[in-house]
Amino acid sequence: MELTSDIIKSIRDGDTSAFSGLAKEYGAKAYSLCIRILGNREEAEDCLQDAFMRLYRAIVSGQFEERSRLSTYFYTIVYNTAVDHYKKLRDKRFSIISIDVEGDNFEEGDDLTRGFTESGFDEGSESTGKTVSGNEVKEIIRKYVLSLPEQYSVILTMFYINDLSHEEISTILKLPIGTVKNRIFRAKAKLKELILKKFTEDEILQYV
Amino acid sequence: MKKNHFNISNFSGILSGMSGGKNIDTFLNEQIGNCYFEVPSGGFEEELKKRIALENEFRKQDVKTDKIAKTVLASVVVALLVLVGLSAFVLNQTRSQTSDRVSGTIESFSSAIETISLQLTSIVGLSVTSQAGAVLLVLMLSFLLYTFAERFLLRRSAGRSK
Repeated sequence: MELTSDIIKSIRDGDTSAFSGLAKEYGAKAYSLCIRILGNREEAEDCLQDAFMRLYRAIVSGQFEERSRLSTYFYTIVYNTAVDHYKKLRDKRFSIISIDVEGDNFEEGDDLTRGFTESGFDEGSESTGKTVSGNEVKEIIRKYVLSLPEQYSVILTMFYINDLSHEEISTILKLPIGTVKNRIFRAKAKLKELILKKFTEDEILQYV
Repeated sequence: MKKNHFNISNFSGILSGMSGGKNIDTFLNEQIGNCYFEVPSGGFEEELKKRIALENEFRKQDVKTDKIAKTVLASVVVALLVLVGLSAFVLNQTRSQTSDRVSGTIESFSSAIETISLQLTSIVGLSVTSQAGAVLLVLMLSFLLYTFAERFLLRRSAGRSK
């Protein structure tokens, strides 16, 4: 559901149920993004609450002028709020995730393999030929996907969960569009390579 | 003659790729989506509703406070203007009865404004009498007072809404 001017008008007129509808529509998708950035459920919920409040104030005060899609506007708020929370957390804790909030000065690909090796996945193990269940396949893929470094997982979440385009992601993250496309491509290629080392394509497609 | 043996599993692979458009890339895309999708806890929406209700309450209170503050400020400004007007009138009436010191001050103020007025006239063609100058000064003072007070109030309400 893309928001119409009517819904925004309703919210401005004080119809809180219209805003609740928004929260239902975007809540889980935005929460997924917060989790990817903050890596903690409680922090992610706090962050999302703040993001929704910022959105509410922006709509009511007329700060949101409907120049961009509301979803894009909202996910920009979510990302910025999560980064704010992340910075606060960084001050409190010694070690949490390392998203590239500023700059893009890591070598593409280096962190991609590090995520898997740190997680203890054996990249070299090949298909054993044993019958595997669909759940097993999915569980292993899940482990691989969740082991992707944040530089990749945040972009993948924006692309696959938040339905943002390459251009929109590039604008929100302030990264060149080429970097965005490259990271999506590399992450998928690496996942595919790892999965195909473990299972044959037929084994995987059996459970599709 | 050699018979062709058709293995049904070969067909199923081809057909699944053709009919549903499913291949490993599609499967991977779906899995990435599924893996990253998370749902907030059950109390999330309820908490958000409460925060919005609270926000609206604050907003209403801010509007009320703002109205009261503006009324008070406007009253002060009007009172100030009336006071100045009355003072000017009284001073005008009783100029002859005032002490030399007071009249001297007023006269020096008047002459200063008239000098400025003459200069203004020569430069931009404006003329200001001493009384008009006094009123202008009071107006400027009122405007400054009003702006300062309003900014202070707005800052306070903005701080609370955060």
